[in-house]
Amino acid sequence: MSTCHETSERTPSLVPTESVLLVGNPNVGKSTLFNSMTGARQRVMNAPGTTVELQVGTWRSAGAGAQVVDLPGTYSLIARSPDEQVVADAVAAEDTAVAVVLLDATALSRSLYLLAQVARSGRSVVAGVTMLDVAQAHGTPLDADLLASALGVPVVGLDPRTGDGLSRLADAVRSHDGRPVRGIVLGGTAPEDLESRLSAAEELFTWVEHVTGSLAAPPPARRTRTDVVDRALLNPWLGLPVFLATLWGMFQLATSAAAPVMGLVDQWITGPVATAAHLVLHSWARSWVEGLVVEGILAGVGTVLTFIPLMAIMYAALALLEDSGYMARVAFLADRAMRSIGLDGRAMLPLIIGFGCNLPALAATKTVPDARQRLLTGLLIPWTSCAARLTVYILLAGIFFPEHAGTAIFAMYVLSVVLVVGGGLLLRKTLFRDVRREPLVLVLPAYQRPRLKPIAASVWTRVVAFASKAGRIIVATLAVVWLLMSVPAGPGHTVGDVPVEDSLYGRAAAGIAPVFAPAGLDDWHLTAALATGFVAKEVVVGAMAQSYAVAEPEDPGQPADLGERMRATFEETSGGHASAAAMAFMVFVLGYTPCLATVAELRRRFGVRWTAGGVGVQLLIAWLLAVAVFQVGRLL
Amino acid sequence: MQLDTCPVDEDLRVLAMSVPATARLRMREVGLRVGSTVRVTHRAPFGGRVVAVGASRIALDGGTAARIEVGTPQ
Repeated sequence: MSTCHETSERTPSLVPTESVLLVGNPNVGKSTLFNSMTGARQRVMNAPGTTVELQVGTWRSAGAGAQVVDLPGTYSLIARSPDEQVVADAVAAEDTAVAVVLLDATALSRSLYLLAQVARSGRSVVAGVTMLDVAQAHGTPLDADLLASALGVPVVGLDPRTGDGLSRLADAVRSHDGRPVRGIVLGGTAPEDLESRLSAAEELFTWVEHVTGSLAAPPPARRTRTDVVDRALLNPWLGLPVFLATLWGMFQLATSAAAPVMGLVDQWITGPVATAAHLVLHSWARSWVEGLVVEGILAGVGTVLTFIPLMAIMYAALALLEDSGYMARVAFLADRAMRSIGLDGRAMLPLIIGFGCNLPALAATKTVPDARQRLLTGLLIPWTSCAARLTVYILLAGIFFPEHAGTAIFAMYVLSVVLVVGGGLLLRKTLFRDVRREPLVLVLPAYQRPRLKPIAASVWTRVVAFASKAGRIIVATLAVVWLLMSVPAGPGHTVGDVPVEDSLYGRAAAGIAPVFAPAGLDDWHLTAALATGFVAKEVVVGAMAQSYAVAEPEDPGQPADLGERMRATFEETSGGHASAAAMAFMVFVLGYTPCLATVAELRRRFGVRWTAGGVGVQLLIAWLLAVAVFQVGRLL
Repeated sequence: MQLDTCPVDEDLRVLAMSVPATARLRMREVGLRVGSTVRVTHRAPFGGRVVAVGASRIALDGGTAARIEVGTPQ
């Protein structure tokens, strides 16, 4: 992919022929229109060679098999971000797709500038005008026919939220003869230097002024309902509490709100479904086959199904924030805080959600408009200390720091913030030197009432993408973990009936235990629990109890037998510095891979290379920190 | 005067923008340019400003607002 400059060289196409590219400014109603066009016939894909997500769907009205690609919103084809570059490349690609350029009737100059850039590339253009009702309410109605006369290409008035005008748009796309936009010189070159780019842009601005001059006068600035609402929501005294309450609400959604639904799904899988599978398999299958199906594959499917309500709730909440227009205010209000680590203000949302659960936090990275910033945010999320890790902190703090348990747990959260900020600064100075914060120039959309149908379609598409792509990895990995735990490492046991320490899993845990000796954790019980924690942090306490063959404590703060056994192990492995080793264990739990589901989602969003690199760095940093904590702690 | 210190809800004309050329181009692309008539509609926390350009509302960080010189429209 070419880097951030205007592109005229033809690049490989994203789409088959008979396709439509949806192009437009952010918040012009493009994605809503896409949902109205395609209904449920849509899927999520990454633009080739990038981590930029696109939605592709079938638009039957435009012809049999016509594909429509919802490109990221942009103000310009002179790209400043990977997302904008994807739009520039898609427009410049070698294909016959028609570009449907959406124009905002209340900000016509801005929209026409983008249309002019698309038209100059030589691509066939059909214009759709949105926000006509708002322009009318502002006293500056726009005549679509008059605009069509000025442009020389079809112009269709649209309401993306109701789908009004869609059939006329389909007719216009089908019958468009490919004539150029009036007044635009085709085949614009790709200016490399800034002055040439500015000069080329200036030509288009002149064209835009000429076109808008032939239409109604632009609306004067006047107070709107959105302005009145923003008086409160952007007010330093009221706006910040509302902003913090929004963050708190999203955090709650990621934790307590989704928990009952997740619990019900889990009960259903581990109850009736597992029982049914057991009954079906018990009569004819060998016991290890039954174990693999019920405890391996079914457990994996159960894990994926358990996460689906959480992901659906999170995607719906994010869509509500975006559709209502408040997400842009979040970006504005959080800009100052996130600027310090070079991130867009919208990155604050996923990072806060991460303290509830890392998986929906990765979902929330979709609100960050720049792919490189999304990736950077995604790499930092695993260091936000999710609620699942808290069970481990509570257990260890209760055993080893009973008088100062709260302080020990609080220290983990402070370290989590330090890791996120420090990691962000380090990555900015190394692998992400290209991520620069330009001055904030952010168009704030008018507030509007979110529409249920497009949100539901969008949530469905994204949840299906998660379940089908990340889900496969989760199920396969959990099946492998079951096999490792069920296959004996030596004679005397049968497959599916072996204590953990005599399984391949237990032997592997014992094999890697010496690596943790510098952190005071050279014991297979501890490394086996950490290895299980790679699957999910929720099961670390249970895995620890299982390895000691004691009951898992109902309350991790009252560990009873497990506490005694763990204290003895930590005393032994640390040479009498059990508290330092326990702190090192907690630090390692904070620093390394949060869970398998997060890894699968990272891979789906950012690819194998970044995911593997991220997991490796997290393990290394976690080990280094654990060693440092133990070595310093034993001296105190 | 600068945009970060000017009064709210008064029509003003942009006289100069002392920002890097790429940022100036982005401002131009979203509708903010020398000669535009603007109006500060909101003062946000941490020095940010929202300006109205026609029907559009454009949020600027405090540093950027301080680099935009405005005056009374002619």
